[in-house]
Amino acid sequence: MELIIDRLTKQYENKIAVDRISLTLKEGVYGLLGPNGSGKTSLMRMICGVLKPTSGEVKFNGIDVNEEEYRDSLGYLPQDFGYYPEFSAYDFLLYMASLKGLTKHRAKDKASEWLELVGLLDVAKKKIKTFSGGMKQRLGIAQAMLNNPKILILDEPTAGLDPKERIRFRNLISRLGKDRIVLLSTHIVSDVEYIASTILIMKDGQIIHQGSLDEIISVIEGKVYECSVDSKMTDYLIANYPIINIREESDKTFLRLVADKSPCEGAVAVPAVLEDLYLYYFNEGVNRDE
Amino acid sequence: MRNNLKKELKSVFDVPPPTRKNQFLSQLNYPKTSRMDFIISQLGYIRKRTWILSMLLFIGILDGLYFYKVSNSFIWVVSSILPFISLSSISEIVKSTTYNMKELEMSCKYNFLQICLVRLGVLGATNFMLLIGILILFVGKTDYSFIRLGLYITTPYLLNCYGSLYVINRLKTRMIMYVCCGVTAFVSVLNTLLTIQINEIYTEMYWLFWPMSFIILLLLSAREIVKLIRKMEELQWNLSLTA
Ligand SMILES: Nc1ncnc2c1ncn2[C@@H]1O[C@H](COP(=O)(O)OP(=O)(O)OP(=O)(O)O)[C@@H](O)[C@H]1O
Ligand SMILES: [Mg+2]
Repeated sequence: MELIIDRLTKQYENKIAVDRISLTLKEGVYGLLGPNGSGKTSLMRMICGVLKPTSGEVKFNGIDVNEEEYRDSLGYLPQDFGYYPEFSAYDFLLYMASLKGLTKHRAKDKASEWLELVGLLDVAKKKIKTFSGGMKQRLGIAQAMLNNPKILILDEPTAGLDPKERIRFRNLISRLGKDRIVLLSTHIVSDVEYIASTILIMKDGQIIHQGSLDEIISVIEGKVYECSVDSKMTDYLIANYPIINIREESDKTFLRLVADKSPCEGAVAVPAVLEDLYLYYFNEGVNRDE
Repeated sequence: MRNNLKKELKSVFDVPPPTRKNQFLSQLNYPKTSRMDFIISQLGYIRKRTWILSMLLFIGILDGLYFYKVSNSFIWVVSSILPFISLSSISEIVKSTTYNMKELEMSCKYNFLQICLVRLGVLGATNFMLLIGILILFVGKTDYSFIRLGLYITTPYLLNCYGSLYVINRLKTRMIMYVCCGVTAFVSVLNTLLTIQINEIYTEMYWLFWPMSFIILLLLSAREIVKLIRKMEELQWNLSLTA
């Protein structure tokens, strides 16, 4: 099972959203992490055959993304989707199942099964327009899974989920990743930290880092420091180091920052987490503002 | 006796729990539907109101014919209502865009293009049958020939098809249906005004006007339909859906 993405590029009028990305994905969970506008949705749409690439190709076991057979192995949750106004949750799933080529009987089984798995069984007959954002999102996840896809692409699947549902979702995904390719995008670092076997960090249309959590973090391992300092020192540190976190305490300021060696007296090295790396790459702008 | 033995055996030996059950199941090929099944299932998803509207018009005409004979005003009333039938069909064809289901549908095995082609085919055929049905009811009740009557009734309908398709192919907003409603209202009113203002509109004086408009509109509509299908095939989508 191999999904090959070869020099995939998408250019809108004058903006390159995806810039010659090449990747090979195998069974497992891939977490695509990147800030707004980094090109996650554009990349995923091309993998789903919904957006035509400017150049490059996508193949699954040798089958091109344009072919019906490819779509047959695909499950996709778009970042934003609608539904026909007369649909209940159950109707919606039956409709999607008919497009995915499931027989009536199997469609009904699968729809009930997934409604239960995402916790919507008791509202199955309710109109979707009465759903909250999180419920609709869960319905979207159920829809993507109906045809038991080999490739599962989820664009910000946890957007709008409450903490309990988030955890349930994480457990579900890590189970699903055992025998299929799961690619999910998010800007919430903790969503992928524990479940993604590979983390892809995207910036300006390119994958700037990829690897397991440990591999990725090793870039800044041992370089994350925490300290509590007075306001003068705070200004100095902000001006000279990438800051990850600032918190005002009663008379001092607590800082978490990245530095090659101890930046000031009393700073303690702490274990790095993925969020440190993410902020290290993406909050240059934030620092300058302050 | 045998049953007892089975039970005994079961209780003595532990059945090992299935380890790779899910992997095994996912490798099985489940029966899939055929393209025909898909087309039939799509029929069920065409909104009832589309059928009801056509039925109502047809029954209304039947009813009207019972009481009145086919006069010129009967013709303009029917020909001004017909654009609304095409409006309801067109709203059905573009509902993926209206309700933002396009992206989901594009990613499915039977995708957006196939869904639209089924809708286009089914609704086109029913509209055609409705038109023929109405003509058959009318003919013989007037002095006009079948063809002449056909021209009077279908030309406004075609004008609306062309106008709506023109809009659909060029505008990229989800409000597209409102624009189409506007087009339909315009066509309907225009048709009414023309037939009321120009007394001779259904006479020999305009013998060239009708077939010319009919043929031009037919060609233009056909061109827009081809364009629409091409655009769907392209799978290009420039709607800025990105948040
Ligand atoms: N239809 C479009 N036309 C023009 N530019 C577009 C279009 N869609 C996206 N872009 C641009 O391409 C870039 C990448 O967009 P994309 O939606 O892929 O980002 P993203 O990583 O998914 O962002 P987010 O986290 O906000 O969902 C952005 O700069 C965006 O403005
Ligand atoms: Mg996005």
